Amino acid sequence: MGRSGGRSAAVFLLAFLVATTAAFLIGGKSSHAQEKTVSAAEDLEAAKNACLEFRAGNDAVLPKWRDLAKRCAQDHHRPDAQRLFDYYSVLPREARVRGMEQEARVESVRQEAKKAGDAIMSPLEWGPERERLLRELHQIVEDNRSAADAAPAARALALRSTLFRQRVITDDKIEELEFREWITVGESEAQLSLELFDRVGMELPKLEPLLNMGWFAQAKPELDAAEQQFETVYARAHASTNTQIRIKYELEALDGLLAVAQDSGDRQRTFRLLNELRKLGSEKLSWNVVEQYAQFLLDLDEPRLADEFLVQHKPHADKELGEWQLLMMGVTGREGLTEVAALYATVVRKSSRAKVPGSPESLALADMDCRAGMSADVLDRLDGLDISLMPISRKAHLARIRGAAMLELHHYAEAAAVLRGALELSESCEGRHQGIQDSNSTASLVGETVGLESLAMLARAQIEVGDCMQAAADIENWQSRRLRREASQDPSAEIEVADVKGWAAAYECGLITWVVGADTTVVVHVNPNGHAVASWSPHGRKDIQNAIRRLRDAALTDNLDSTSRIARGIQEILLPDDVTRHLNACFPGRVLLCLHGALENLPVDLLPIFAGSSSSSPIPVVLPGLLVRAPGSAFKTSDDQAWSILGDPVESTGEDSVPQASSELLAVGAEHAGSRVCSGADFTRAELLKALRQGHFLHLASHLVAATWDGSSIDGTLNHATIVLSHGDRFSIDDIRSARPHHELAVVNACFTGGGEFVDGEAAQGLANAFLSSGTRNLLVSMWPITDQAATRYAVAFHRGLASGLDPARSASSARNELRDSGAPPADWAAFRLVGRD
Amino acid sequence: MSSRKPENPDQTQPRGGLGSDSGASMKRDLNVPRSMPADLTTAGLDDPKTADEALIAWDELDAQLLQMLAEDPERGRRLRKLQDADGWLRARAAEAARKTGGPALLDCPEAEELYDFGQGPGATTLSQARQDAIDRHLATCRECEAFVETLSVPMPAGLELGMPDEEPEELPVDPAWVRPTPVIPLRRKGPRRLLVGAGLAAAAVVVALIAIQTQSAPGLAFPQQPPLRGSAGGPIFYPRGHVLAPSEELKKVFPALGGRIEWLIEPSKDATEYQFLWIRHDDSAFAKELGRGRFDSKDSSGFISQLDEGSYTLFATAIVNGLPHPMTPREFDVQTDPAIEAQLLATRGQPTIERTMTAIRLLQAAKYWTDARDLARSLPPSPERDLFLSQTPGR
Repeated sequence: MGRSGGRSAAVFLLAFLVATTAAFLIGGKSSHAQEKTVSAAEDLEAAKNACLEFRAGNDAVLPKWRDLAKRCAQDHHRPDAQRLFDYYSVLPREARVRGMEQEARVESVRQEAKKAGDAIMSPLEWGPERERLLRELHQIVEDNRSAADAAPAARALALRSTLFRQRVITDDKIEELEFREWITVGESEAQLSLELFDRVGMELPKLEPLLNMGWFAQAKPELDAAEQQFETVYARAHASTNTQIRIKYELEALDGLLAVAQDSGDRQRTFRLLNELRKLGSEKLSWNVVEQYAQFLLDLDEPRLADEFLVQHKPHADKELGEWQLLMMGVTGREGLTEVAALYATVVRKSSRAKVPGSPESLALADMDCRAGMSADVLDRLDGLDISLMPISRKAHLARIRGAAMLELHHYAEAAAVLRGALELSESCEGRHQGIQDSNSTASLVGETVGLESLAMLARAQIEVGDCMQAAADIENWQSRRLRREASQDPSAEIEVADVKGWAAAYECGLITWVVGADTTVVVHVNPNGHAVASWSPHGRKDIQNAIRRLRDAALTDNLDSTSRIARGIQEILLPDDVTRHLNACFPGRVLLCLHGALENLPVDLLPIFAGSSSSSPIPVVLPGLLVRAPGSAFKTSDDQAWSILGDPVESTGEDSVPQASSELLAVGAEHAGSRVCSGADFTRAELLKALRQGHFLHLASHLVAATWDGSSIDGTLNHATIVLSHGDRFSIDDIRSARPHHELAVVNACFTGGGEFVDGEAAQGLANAFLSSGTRNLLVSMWPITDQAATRYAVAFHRGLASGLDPARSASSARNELRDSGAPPADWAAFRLVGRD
Repeated sequence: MSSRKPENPDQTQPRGGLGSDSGASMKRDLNVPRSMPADLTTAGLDDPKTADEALIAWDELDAQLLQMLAEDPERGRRLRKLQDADGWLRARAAEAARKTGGPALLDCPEAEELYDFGQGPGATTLSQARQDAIDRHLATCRECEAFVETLSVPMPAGLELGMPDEEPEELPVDPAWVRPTPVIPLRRKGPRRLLVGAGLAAAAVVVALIAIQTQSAPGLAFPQQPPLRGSAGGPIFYPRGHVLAPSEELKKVFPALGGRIEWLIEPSKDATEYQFLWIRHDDSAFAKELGRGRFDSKDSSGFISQLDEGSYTLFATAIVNGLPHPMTPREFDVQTDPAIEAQLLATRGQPTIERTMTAIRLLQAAKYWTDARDLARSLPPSPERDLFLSQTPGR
């Protein structure tokens, strides 16, 4: 990702600018400061000047400073001004004067570092220079360790921590051990700096070490802690009356928060933060924001918008122009504008950086040449490359390009090995930035190019060498990792061939899994005997997403002809004939569909192969990936299923907000003797929490209300949707996660309960995810907004099936057929999906 | 009433070129927001329906017709009530004019100025002097007042005054009225005119009550959307589903159909502009592009000119802080439909409102939601109509 490289120079320069200014500021201000009058600002300014004079040796200013400090503390709510006075007023003159001299030493080092930053030194030059500066600062700390004035040591430590931080977040070549050491030392020095500033009573200079602490936490990675630190910095900066300091530290803090949001794969937050950064910036967009926003648009698969946006914001500085051209080459390539991309490539090729072997420019050109069919030439160019000094992310990129070239040259076994290496390298890179607990090579950091497309190519290579089972295992292993780790409570929950076979054996028709890359879709069917067939097509994620969206829109508008035509077209790609034949050979029975990423939105019941009755079609059971290594025991039907049946919220006015829910709850209750029904005014937070924690069987009938739309996708608003309770209360998805529901079967009968935003191959982050990751085995959800009436009809039919002894998958199939055969439109029955293990 | 310009066939953005809002006049003789037979005679008042319609437009009757109406026991009573309300209104208006100072404008302002005065979406700011002048004019001109009032009515789409008639050549859609208004209530200028506004509102209520009483009432039973279990319908609300490509014959019967397609999106906070791209494609899963068009708008609703038959995707992007925010695209298809055409044409013999209501219900049931809204907009304002137009699809 361009974040590390692209941000580094700007961040570093900004840090020094901020710190330089901060060095001359003494004292801080509380959060009430913005309400202060002009006289407060004047008093603070006068107090600062008096302090500087006194420290410089002018004892005569003491009485004046005393008055000012008192006034600042008492009238302007600035106790720190008094603390500063209390600290320095008792120091002997010599100690104060020496302190000022020592602070000037720190400032001198800061200026040297700033000059180095301005000169944009090469890593080879900057490394030794940084070492020298660190030694110099260390000496200042040592010289002042026992000094009466603690400020010089505090400032030297703060600057040291900044230098440590700078390397940690920008140096991809740093070895793992050294990386950890630099974080540890940087953190401890930032912490010590904070303590010393506290002792002196200085507030504003604390922003520097606080910010550094945030970046160290982000690098470790402890994203929650990092977020908290950056928010603290933002809040303190925001409260400052010094406009320059305020804006610069706000920008720094937002940059940190943005990094956390990107590492978390939180697009909503990324989007909001980029907007905040934009608002804080000048009238003209900075290249930093332009570059990051263009990258964000690419992450959203919006190369056309990224193209237009970049064209509107073409930079002028040479370095930025080079980055712009490189980005434009990639963006236009993604748009399919190969001739335009070739033009940009011509320009990039002429740049001096393109001639440096292994540079990002040279790799991007190699990638492009590979796509243009020059694979042999590309391999020749890349094979002799010295990768020892290459950052991990670039090594992963290089491996991906080599793998792609080998695949095109039909060197399948070698391609598989190299592509596997690319994925492992990207995981290592992710591990660096996201931690082992959260590592996920198919999302966020390396993202689409190295992630899912590499996985699709790896699967293709496996298929070509005849190992379809390994392809299935790889597809499952490298996708939905975060959900699997949460659901299985196992941070190393790898999926292997034996695991896939075990899952396939649990279903009469086996399992089908897919990976949808940027340009390639691969499908594998594994039958219950462990035999697999596979196929691939050159349809990428954008194609598949658009087709699914068209299918949903056609179904929602009851456009039956289009629905049928589009469904057939999608099936031809996702379930080609050889896979369908293999599937039909297992028939009848259930088939597990592992729908990853873009496929999670597919209304499978509309595909012709699943459209028949249970005696003539396979019965789909859907999962967003194998949640655990083994499926566990099958669903047991029994007469004593005690259900918790909740819903039918009433508004504060006493009005019934879900008219049909009341009759639905009664009908469902009638199907399951001994169930507990909680409805109307009793449908409260406490009751829902109780039911969620109790586990077992749950039926819920209410509204699901999406979060307020803020400019991102509808799917994104479902990540933060809420269930409507009685009396205007709401139950959020986070509330559900906290309750950790672990039901055998849960029915959440409201709008769009299966929706949510996904990132690459990860499961959508909506309500269903909250249930599945908590251990719920089966979940009935809806894939789009449903009418009150259809929801009730479907639910009653579903429970009737359960009560008659059918398993959940067959009950869902039966309910669907009942509605469809009665003439209900697809919008009413194709919305429902059984997600789980059955 | 027959001199209006035809709809601009190439309207790609609400305010572009010779757009829908150009060249309009607010003069009463050109633009009467009520339907009244132009050739009304004393004999015509024998027909109860005609007499009721005449009562609604009492202030345009000549002395003889007015006298006849006054002598009718039932309608005379209603007429007196209307005249009382009118007198009260005008007295208050005169008072308001005195308060705001200066004489009232004699000539109706241009529609554009009224639009700016009412602060419709994208309106510019008038000078204070011009605002005061228009304010004074509104105190004495009900047509202009009614127009400005529509800008503060919370409804998602434009208001067309004037009803469809048997002879569309005589009642084409007035381009002055096709600017849509957004879902959210708009800011209304001129709090100093509350007094006049209250008077007008009271008069409007009286008129509306009488009008409703006198209608033989097909009733304004607009189709309702079924309740959903949640909400996630945006951000592009319209067009969606089917959009009718009407025949020339159908356009004659329902002039509001054809010629343009409404678009409506969920407003994005802080958006300064919206950019749109439509792509026409084949109707396959992995659709091939057949053509495209673009338009921009500062508003969250508007119209594009009628598109050729085919399948379309509408892409929208909100520009916020200079950053493009893509919205989830929306599919729609423009198609001819002989079956629905035949049903719509079969309503030809019905009275205007009844016919329009029947057509709205037919279109809504056949999923021609965008067209149903177009027709609804051609009806006189009413709470039922506005409620129907303000409904946004939840899915």
